[in-house]
Amino acid sequence: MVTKIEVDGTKKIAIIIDSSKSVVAPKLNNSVKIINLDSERSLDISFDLIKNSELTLVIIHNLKDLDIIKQKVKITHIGGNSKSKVTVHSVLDNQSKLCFTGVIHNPKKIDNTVAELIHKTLLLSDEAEVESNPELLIDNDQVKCAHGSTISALDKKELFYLQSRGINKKEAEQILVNSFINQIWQQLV
Amino acid sequence: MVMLSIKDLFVNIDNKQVLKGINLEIKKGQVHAIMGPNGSGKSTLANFLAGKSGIEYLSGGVKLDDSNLLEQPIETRAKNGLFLSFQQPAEIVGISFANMLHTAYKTKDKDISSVDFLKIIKEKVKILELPTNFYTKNVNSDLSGGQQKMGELLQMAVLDPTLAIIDEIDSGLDIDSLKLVANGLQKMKSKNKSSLIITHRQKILEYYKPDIVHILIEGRIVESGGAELVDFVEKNGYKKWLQK
Repeated sequence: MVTKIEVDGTKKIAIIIDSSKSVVAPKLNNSVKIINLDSERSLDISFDLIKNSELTLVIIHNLKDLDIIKQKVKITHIGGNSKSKVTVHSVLDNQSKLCFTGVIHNPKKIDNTVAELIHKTLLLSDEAEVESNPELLIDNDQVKCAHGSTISALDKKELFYLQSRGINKKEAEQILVNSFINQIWQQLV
Repeated sequence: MVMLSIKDLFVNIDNKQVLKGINLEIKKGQVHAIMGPNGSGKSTLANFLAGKSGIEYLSGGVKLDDSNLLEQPIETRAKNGLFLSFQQPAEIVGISFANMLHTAYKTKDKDISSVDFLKIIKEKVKILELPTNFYTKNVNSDLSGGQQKMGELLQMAVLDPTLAIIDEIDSGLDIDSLKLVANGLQKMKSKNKSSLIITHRQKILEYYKPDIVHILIEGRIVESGGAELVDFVEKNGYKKWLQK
C-alpha cells in the first residue's frame, strides 16, 4: 500500500524512521509536519505537487541491529511551477539494511518545475548495507532536476579532534552521528 | 618539576623518518617555543603527542607528569592534562562549542549540569574577550580561520590543561586577532601549567614570550636558547642551521 499525499501551497515535512526512538526533532516552526513511521506500516509514500506548490521533505533513517527497511518515495510534479527538495540522511549501524528508492517524476507538458533529491548515508558498521536508487523520470525539457547519493563512514580527522578533547570514542562517534542528523534539520528552518 | 619529558624520540610517516631523535624537557610553569621551516616535523611532533594515528612510533620515550604518555589512548592523554590546539581544526556541523565542550568537561566533572557548565563557558568567553555568543557557534563550521583559532583558545580555557601544545595558532590571523589570541594565552599562564607553542613566525612570540626556544630542522632540535633566538631567526632565517 502506498500512502498518497497531495501538496498544495508550501509544505515542510519530516519523516523519521527510527526503531530506537533516539532521534529528537529540534524546536521547529509549527508549519513543519513530523511523521514517525515504523516498519509495521508501509513506508512507501507518493507526493503529488499541484500547480505553484512547494515541498521541502526531509527523511531520516536511524537503523540499528537487524533493522531491515525498504522504502520508495515518489515525487510527482502534476502541476507546473512547482518545486520539490528532498533530503534523506540515513545512519546504519550493526547489521541493518536499507534499500531506498527516490523517484522524481515530471510528466509531459508540466513546465518550469524544480526538483532535487539528495541521499546521504553514514555507515557505522562494516556489516551494515545500503542500496540507494535515485531515479529521474523526466518527460519534459522545461525542468530543473538534480539528484545525488553519497555513502561514507565516520571521518577519522573529526573523531581524533573530539577524542583529543577527552571525549571517549563511543561518545565522539555519537556526536558525529548527531552532527550528521542535525544537518538535515537546517533544511526546515 | 618536569611536566613533559621527551627522550630520543624517532617516528616515521609512510616509512619516512620525520622525527630523528627529539630530546625535550619542559618544566612546570614554562613556555617553550619550537620554531622551524616548513616540513621540519613541528606539526608531526604536536600530533604525535596528542595520539594521532598514522604516525609510526619507532623508539624513544615521552612522559607527561611522570606517566608514560605513549601507552595512553587519545582521550586519556587529554584527561591527564594534555591539550592540542589544532593548526586546522575539524569542522563539525550542527554541534555547538557549548555542546561539545559540555561532553568533554563531563569527563572531569561527570555530574555538571548544563546550567553550571554555561556559567563556566560564558565566564571564559568574557575573560578571552570573545564575542558574547561565541560558544553557541557550530564547532568550526562557517567560521573564518581566525574564528577557528579563537575556538581553539576557548576550548583550551574551558578544559584548563596542564600542558597545552599550540600548533601554529598564529597562521592566517590578522594583527588584531593575533593580539587577542596572544593575550588570551598570556591570561591562561600559571606556575602550574606549561605550554609548547609551535610557530614559524616571530610575531606571536613578541606578545606571548617563551622561556626557551628550540630550533627544529629536519626532525632534530639543532639549537635551544632564550628569546634571543627568536630575534636571530627574524633577522637571519634558518640558513645557519640548514647549511650544516
